[in-house]
Amino acid sequence: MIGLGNDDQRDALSELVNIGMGQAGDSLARLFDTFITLSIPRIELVQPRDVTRAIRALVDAPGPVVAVRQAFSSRIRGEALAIYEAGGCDALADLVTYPDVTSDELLLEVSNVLVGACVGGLAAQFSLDLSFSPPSILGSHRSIDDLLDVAGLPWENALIAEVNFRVVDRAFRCHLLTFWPDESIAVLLRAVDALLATL
Amino acid sequence: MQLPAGISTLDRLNAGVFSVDSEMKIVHWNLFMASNSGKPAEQVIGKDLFACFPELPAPWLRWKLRSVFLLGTFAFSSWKQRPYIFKFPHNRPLTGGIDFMRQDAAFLPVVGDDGTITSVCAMLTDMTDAALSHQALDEAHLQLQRELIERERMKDELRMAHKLEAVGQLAAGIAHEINTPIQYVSDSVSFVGEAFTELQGYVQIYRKALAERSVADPVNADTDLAFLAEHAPAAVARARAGLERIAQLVRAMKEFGQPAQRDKTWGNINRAIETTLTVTTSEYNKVADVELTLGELPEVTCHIAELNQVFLHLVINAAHAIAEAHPGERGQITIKTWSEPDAVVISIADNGTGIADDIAPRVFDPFFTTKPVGRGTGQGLAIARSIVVDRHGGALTFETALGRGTTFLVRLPRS
Amino acid sequence: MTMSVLVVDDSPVSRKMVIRSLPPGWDISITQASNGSEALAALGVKHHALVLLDLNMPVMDGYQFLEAIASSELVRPIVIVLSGDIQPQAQARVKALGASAFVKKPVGAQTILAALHECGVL
Repeated sequence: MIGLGNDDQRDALSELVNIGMGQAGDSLARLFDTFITLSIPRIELVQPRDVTRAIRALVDAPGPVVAVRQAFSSRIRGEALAIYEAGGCDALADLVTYPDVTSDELLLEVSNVLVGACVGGLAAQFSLDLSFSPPSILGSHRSIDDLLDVAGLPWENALIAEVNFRVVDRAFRCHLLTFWPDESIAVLLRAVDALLATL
Repeated sequence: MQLPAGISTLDRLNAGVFSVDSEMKIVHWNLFMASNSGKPAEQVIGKDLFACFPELPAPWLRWKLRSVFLLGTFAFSSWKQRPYIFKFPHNRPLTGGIDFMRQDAAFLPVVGDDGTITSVCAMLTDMTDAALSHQALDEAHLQLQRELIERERMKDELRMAHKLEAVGQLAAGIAHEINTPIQYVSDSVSFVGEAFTELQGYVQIYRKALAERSVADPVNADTDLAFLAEHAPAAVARARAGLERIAQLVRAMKEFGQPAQRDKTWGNINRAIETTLTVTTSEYNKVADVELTLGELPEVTCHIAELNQVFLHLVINAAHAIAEAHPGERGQITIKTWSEPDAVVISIADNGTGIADDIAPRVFDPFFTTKPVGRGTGQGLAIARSIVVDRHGGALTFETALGRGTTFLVRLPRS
Repeated sequence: MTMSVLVVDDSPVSRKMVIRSLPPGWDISITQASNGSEALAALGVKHHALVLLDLNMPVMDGYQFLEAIASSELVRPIVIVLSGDIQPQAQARVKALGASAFVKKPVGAQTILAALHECGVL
């Protein structure tokens, strides 16, 4: 995370992201009544030309992936990407309590829960009230390099926070990446500073 | 988030807004929900949502609402995965095109003064127009794809057809060239045959002269001479038969390679059939026996080269049908010709696969084929029909039984 | 007598937040460790009566630390787990491994106090 603030700010941000990601894991676990394993969150500051490399480094999926995107906004705005390895959320299908669940519906459901909890969890620590738009499937069976159109990205700098989830005894692996572009980074840092000031 | 106090605003929205508490009892119900469901607010407020609307997808909706109560985050649903939640009438009473209103939904937690989630507010958006546009676009896309595939296939067929045409012309050219050397060979073989007979005569004269003078025959060649006398003429005869066959093939190829004539000429149908069988021998002789019953036919005015093509396509189709139906066994191609008061009729029958009911109406369509590219151009029957019907005023029909075989009938009007 | 408290978390900021939330005026001496391995070393040097433990750490995480304590000969401290990972099964797991209480992050003065009461430390 070079270039972002000082050691204390980075550390504080890390910790806050940690807490947010923990909320996401907890939400998923409660909804599906199962146990979720979380990785240690990683944070990176990138520019558009680095983004594909950064995503590749964070998401070490070898084959084609399925990705869902969802935006959040209000005082802070950004977008989240939930990237699933082949099979998407199908491994969780028997955990839902309604019949006839389709792959796409489950994919959107799980992604929405993860994004809502993770981003919501992070924002709640700053007393930020966020609004979410519906999730949509970005691509099925694409390679990671093809997910984003690098030429058209409308920001200069973005913070990426990544965590990945596994479910015990099931073929489910999800990488959740949240992107905080430009002004949102400043809002995050201001909130972090406010927190540090109390210590 | 608190619901705004101005309920009249909610009622003017062209979207459904309602909320339920943690017991699934309805707390708010706006005008959109009331008019579309036929149940006004007074009738449903305080009642269980699922009791009021038993047609709702209860397990799914309960899951959705539970997730909002449990997690405190937004939840969504899209018409693309779930066309509708409530069976509401669509907004197309005149134009129709769809069964029920398509709906997107958003579910939001409503937090009470004590910080807990007291109810979930749902917003239903009418997405019917978007859905119908999507549907139309999907269909157009599908149609385009189908046409692109068809176009590729036609391009392949056309390429094949051009190649065959070129080969046909080449064959005609070669046939023409072969004629001359065949002539030489034929003449030479005849000469050698006659020369041998003459030489035999001379040998007999010499032997007789030797015998009269009581001189021993230096060439005690009774056995050799006898051998030569027996086998040489036979060899000549075989050579001539072979040459005749070559000449027959060459003549047939030339007749096929002829360009389309402008005027009709008198033609012998039976001969055309025989010519065709000669040219197509390699197509059928491994898979079928041919039974030929050629009746007495008057000559008819026709484009004989084109009729050759018709018979060619029919015989080849027959052979292919047999090969497909009886791999490894021999089938039967039965060809009959006869004359009727007003027409000359040719029937070409096979005991091959027959033609299925759903394919039958399409067999004469240009470029329609059940064979892979390269094996049949798909144009055969279309061309045949065009020649018989358009160029000769006749008729080309077929009778078929799936699994038993097909009989094609060509009727040509008598001049 | 001054109680020795060991705060284990890989984030310095988090450790500060935890320390800040401890009851004011409480007679304690605080040691800090940034992962399970350092924490074990600290316990080897001196007994600590109370350990405030994060779960998600590199080198040796909270679960591994609890297992190590259980199978070691060290005098068992009271362990309160502080974590953002608050899944019901996570809580059950750490309790089974010997933790006495579980506090959800971000920790606050009240939640820490409640846990300290629950363990009988205060």
